[in-house]
Amino acid sequence: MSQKSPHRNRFNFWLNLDKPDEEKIADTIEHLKTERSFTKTIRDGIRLIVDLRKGNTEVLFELFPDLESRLGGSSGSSGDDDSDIKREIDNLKQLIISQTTNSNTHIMSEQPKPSGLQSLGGVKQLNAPQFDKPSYDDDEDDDLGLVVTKAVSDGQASLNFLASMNALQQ
Amino acid sequence: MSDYIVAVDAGNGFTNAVRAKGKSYDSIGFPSVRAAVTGDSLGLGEQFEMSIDYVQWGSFRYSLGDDVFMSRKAVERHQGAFRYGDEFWLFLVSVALGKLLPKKGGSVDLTVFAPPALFFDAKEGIEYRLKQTKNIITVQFKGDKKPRVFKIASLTVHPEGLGAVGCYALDDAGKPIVSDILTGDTVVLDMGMYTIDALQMSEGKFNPESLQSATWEGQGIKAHMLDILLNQVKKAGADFELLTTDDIDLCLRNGLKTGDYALVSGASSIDLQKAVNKQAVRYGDWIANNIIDGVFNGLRGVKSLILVGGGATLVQDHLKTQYPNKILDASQHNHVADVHPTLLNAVGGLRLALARQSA
Repeated sequence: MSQKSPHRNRFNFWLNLDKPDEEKIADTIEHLKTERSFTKTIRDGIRLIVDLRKGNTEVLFELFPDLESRLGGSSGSSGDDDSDIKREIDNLKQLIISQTTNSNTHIMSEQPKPSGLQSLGGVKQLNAPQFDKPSYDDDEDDDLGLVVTKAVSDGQASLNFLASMNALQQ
Repeated sequence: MSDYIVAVDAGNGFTNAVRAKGKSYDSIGFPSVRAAVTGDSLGLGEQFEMSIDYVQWGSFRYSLGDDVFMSRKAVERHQGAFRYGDEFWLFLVSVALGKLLPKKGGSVDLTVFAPPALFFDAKEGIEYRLKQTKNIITVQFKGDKKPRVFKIASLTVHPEGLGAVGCYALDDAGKPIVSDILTGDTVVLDMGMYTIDALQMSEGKFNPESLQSATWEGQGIKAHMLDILLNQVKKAGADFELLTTDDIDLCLRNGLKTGDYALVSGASSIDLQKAVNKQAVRYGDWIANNIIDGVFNGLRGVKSLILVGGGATLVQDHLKTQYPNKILDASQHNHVADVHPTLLNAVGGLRLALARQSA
């Protein structure tokens, strides 16, 4: 008895290697492929982001069970008590703040100091004006209206060629 | 106004020539090779003895083209940078005129070609040679009672490759074609026996200063196909040890024309088709690596690549797979569809001459 072949769909995406962050992602993909974990990482990553955006941590704790115990939270859904969600979010914030970071990410604490200076795991933040981080989201480029069409000709190329050849004989 | 308008592409490997005839043209072609012959006859008639057509060239007699295989004595080619305007070159041009035009002779508007990188020097050499002959070309064939005499009323020298572009830019009457064929950036690749010429144009215009770097000497069909195939063939057996690149060239031309790539020598025969196809792919890759990618950025930003010359027939299928939608398809343009890649320069030269005359 022959088996039906599974119904499969393939999705591609671009990385701009001129951008350091995306180049890092490309390197990471190569590494994941050597470990044969690229596709699973993509699947898990999408599940995780979508779940977190909904305010859930179910997938987060499914993938990182240790995190659940460290945060002391429960895998709640949007139907749970608001106070539980708030506590989980507070725990997450504290966890991130307590970790040492060497990135340029600006982290807001609950009570900003009057002087504007923040202590960030030993790194002092400069008293610089705030601005939006550059976005590396390629989806934004879709709004630029760059549509490829056929180049328009003025039909003069043959005449140009004739003139060039005649000039060569001068 | 000349009696005849003729373009002669006397290449290192093959001589192609065309003569304007109304809206069409007559054409001839022969390998650029000659061999010394006596032309003597036993008087037995053609039924009983081998008859060789020869050219009487001054006090010498030569068989021409594939007829050299009948004698194989003192077979002579002249390939390389120093041939343009020399005695051998003049011989080829004279024979072409003699074969194309009527015996009675007449005045000729003559167009000839030279590799782009050698263009200015070659042009000077050619003009000097013809000036020495007072612009008179004479040639006598077997059976002629007296030499045929042609007066070169007008001489034009074009860079190889660009002559071929003339074929795309102009129609049969020499009128510019209004189309997008040469729109944007175009690269012309002329692959001959000894040289590869590659030129880039923008909207039909080219930079004369770029001609200097447009020729790869010693990278033509001889180096990449004939020498390599000959080396392989010679190892096949004693019957093949005395063969030359002329034999391989003949087999190759036959094969491209008829599909029969049998190389026969003595009692032995080899089918060269597989070896030719394999080497043609290698040659195509060499061109892709060194010229198309190495010099022309893989044709990024280039609208089309025009392939010209004998090498074009060998590599175009493979290059089409490497650069899809970039190779200009002559069959899509009525005014070029019937012109063989080896005739593109000559026919282009003819059309440029017609354009010049009607200006």
